[in-house]
Amino acid sequence: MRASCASVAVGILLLATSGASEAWGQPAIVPGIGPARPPDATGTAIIRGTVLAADTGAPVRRAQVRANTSDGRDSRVVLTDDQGRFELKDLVGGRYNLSASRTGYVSLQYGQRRPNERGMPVEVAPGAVLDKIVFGLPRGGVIAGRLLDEAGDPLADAQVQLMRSAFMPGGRRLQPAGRMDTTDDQGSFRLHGLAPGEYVVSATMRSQMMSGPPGLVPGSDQGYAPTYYPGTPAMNDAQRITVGLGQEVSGITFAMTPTRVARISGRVTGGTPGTYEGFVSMSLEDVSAGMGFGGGAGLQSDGTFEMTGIAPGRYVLRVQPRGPRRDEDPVGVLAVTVAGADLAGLVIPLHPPARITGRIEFEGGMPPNTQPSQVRVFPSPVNPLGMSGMMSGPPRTLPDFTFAVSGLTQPVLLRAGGLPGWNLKAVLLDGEDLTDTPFDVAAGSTVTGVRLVLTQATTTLSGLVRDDRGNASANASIVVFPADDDKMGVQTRFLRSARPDAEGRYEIKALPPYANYRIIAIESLEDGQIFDPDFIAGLRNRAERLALTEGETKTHDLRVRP
Amino acid sequence: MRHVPILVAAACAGVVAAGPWARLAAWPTADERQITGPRDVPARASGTASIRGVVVDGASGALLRHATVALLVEDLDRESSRTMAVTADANGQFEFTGVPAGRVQVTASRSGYFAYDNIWNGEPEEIDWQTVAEGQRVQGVRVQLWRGGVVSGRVLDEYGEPAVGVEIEVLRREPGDRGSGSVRSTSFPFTPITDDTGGFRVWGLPPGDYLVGARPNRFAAETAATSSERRQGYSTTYFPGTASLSGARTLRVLPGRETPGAAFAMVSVPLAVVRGTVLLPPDTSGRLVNIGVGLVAPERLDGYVTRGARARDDGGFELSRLAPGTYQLTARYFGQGGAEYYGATEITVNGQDLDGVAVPMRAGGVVRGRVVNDLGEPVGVPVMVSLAAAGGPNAPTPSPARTYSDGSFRVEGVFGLQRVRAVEARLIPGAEAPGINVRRLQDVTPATRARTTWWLKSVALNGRDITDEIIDVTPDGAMLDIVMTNRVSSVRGTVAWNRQRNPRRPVVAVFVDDDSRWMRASRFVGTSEVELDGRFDVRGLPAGSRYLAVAVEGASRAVVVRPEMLESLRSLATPLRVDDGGTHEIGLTAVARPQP
Repeated sequence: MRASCASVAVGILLLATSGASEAWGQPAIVPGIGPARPPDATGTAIIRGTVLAADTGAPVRRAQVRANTSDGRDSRVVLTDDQGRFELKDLVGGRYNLSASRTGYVSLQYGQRRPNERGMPVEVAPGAVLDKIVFGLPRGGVIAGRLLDEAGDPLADAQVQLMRSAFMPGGRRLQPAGRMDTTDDQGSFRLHGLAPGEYVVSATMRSQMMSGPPGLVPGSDQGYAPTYYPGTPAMNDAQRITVGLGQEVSGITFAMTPTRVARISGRVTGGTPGTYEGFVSMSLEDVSAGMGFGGGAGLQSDGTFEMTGIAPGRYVLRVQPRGPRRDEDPVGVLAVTVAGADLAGLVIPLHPPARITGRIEFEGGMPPNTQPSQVRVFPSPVNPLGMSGMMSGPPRTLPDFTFAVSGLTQPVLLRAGGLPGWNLKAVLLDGEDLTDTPFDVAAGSTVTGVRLVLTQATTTLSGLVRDDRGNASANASIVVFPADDDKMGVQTRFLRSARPDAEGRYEIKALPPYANYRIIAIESLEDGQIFDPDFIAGLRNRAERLALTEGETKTHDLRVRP
Repeated sequence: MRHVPILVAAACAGVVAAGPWARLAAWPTADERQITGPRDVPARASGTASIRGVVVDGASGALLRHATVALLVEDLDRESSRTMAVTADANGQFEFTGVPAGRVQVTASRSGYFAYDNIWNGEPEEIDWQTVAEGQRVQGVRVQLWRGGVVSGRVLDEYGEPAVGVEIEVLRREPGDRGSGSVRSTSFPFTPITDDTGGFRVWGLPPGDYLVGARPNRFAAETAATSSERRQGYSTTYFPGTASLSGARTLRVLPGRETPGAAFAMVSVPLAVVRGTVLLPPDTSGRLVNIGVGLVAPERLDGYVTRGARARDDGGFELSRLAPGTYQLTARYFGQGGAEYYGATEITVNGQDLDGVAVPMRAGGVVRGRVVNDLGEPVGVPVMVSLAAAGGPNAPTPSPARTYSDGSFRVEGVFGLQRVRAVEARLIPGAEAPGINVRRLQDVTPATRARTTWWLKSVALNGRDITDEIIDVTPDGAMLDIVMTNRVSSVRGTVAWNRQRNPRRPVVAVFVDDDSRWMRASRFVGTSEVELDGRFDVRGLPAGSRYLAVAVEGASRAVVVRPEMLESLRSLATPLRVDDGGTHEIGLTAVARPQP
């Protein structure tokens, strides 16, 4: 009871909107409406085309069509007219990725041939007109059903969410996919616009996402844990639902059953009790495991905390300040596994945060008119589940081009970006290259004197892809990967993929120089598949050798391998 | 129907604020209540009371499992409050333990249900308070919830195809001060959104008269515009297919019933641009930056901004994509040193761009003054002085100010017509609880009356009594003399009611005969709870008027003070006169709640 009052919401939070989205003084920014957002740059190239429904061939009105250059220099969005036509004007020119979307349909990248595949870039020169781009939007599938409580009555106001298996850095995992729905008073839900594939359906009581005990019964310890269709609290026991192209799968009815929920209590040590205005947040360790129930509790002045209604699962407890994090705020992290029984006497040691400081250097001199704030320095955690564990405050670049990254609790790589045309060349410390070696920052430690070198001498790799008859082929994907296993870390820079354009030309920019690349063109590649080590291992013997030196522009033609 | 999740960081107060909170519908009567708690608990022990009860479906009487039950405890000693929350079990039973002594409210919420006493207003009103002593074990509390009504329908585009992903807006007609033409949005924790068939289902609605609208959604871009170049786009469209609130058809929603068939097509309208300038007074210091300009529909009580923008440095502004209609264009500017500026002008948009709209702004006045007692001395307790905007809709209401130790006060940012109120600050219920909005509680509510020692006696402006008048505050401000008194009138007595038929105790209302004084938060309308022995006490009524007294069964105090309810009660009430500081004894027999 008491904890419910002190608890703090730390849900996994998706789109933010509300009835007051066009609040006082905030201009309404409507995506796709011309003047609301000025184009990043204006040029003279034009891309025109049509969006059609793949099943009927009828024009799709008011579909959203996007064009982006891969380097982010140019980014546009327009809506189709009543005949499904669109025109992207004043484009700077170059290589664009195009995509079309409309609610009820599956979003499609131009040139995408199957779900989870990357699209094909299009090239348009300044002043040129690229015409007759046609999108055939597949109609979305639907999963509909009802959620019941343990007595078979409708369970209203629960969140129903879909997940599907996807390749991620670190392996294949279930990822939130598509839309969410809230069950209505009849327990009904309807998730639409789905791409074909296999889905897992999960239900979470909304109170679990907000605050307070989920369906906690006083004097007992029962609550609704996140539940997977056909009615199991274990993600591994979830039954996958196959949705065909444009198929409606209805009758997905399942029940949530109260399970043992735990009370978790403990204290923080190492800080000065009472001086630190903080709270303990609790989040699922693996975000993919469902609507990340976040709970939380305030830290009492004696450093103790207590949370109730915690469903079984693996969690990370994290001590956070109330309000914005300051550099000097202590950090504390503890992983716990909840299996029904209460956990008491947990101890979260607080320690001063780790910190990395250094200087940004520009190879060949600083470009004129560069503001330090343009350069973004950010820590990149090497733990694939680590994004949820990031606690660092905003990295800061100071006016003298020094930087500080603080609040670190886990090994990180340093990355930098933000200046067009400039890429990270090296992260150096005392002459040692730590570009691809994580900083294993011990608690309370400070690493100083890091040199972060940016360069304009970036590599460009391009070429023509041919099929087995020697004709240029667009039906391929190119994979570049390192031969050495030690360059295949989670955040590796040496692993890339690309699609050729309609003429079979591919282009990959800013690979780091390295003498032992492997490159291969294959017929199809699922998005994210390159993060699967077994898949890469399977390509190794068939791939060609490739070396890139610093700033090299190289042409390497390829033949599609079966 | 789909809901788009909103980023929520709800603390405890969020739990209290969210959802339809039920009143404590029935505190047990003497017969039902079994007070088994011994009074031999050491007097200093705190948090030893317990409260047990059930949550039931008000219509069927069936026990409702898994409702969230909240207990708000006001600790009289510390003048603070806290909230406890539990969930009713599978049999609808709940229990609070470790309850400190104080005044308590029990409320309940459950998805799809509403609390009946709450239906008169879109926001929570005051709830019955009961007193709990240390060690007391209260049993048999019944909290009633009713299944809400449902509005369902379908939204299409102008080609008759489903309008997918549009936001559904539900507006409740308000019987309040501004006539039945005004509406307020019904809030949901999640915005209802049409599904891929255009279908929607809005549920859990308290009974009442509603308007249903569909609003373009930024996250479903195709609903936001037809063509940017033709400047044609969807307006927020109300059932049965109109862009104007006045053309919307009212849907009656009954508890537990579905009102189906709200099918309509989004209206595509010419969209206009409105350009203009905000004009600050010539002597304004500081730069003209970040002036917020917004448009509101005059009918709307919820201050929903149709379109907002910021003025440029030169005061120019541009509001794009406006559907035809009449709007109030308001501008606000927070200048240096906390100075506040406000301006409003009405515009009518008819598909054509509107240029050169001038919005003259003026500085907010500062209202200062002093609060004293009948003898001209400081009252010794903090007093909250509040000014409630009585001008046009959505006029800014200044933040209430607490008096300093010498009784002086200062309220800033006051624009135009205002009604002045003062209330003992330490008795504002929940004012110190996190997240409770003091503004909402600035009026003397019936719940605070019984506990209040100091009452507003008079407010004077330049020596003129304006206690129950509306004043016009100019940028020059105003100086007020507020007198509080602790010599209050008391209308007290005993109520007889049929305890078999109606286990719930009636409430007593004593109200002035002159119906022009039945405004919200009127000093001339007082209510009282009825104790178990039938005693009641209505205090603080201004003297010198003809009053009417009545005891009503089956209604909350919030309901009986409604003008339409007072009108119905007028013929059933007993007349009396109230003299300054005097006590009036009266015996009443409860009447059934008049049905509207």
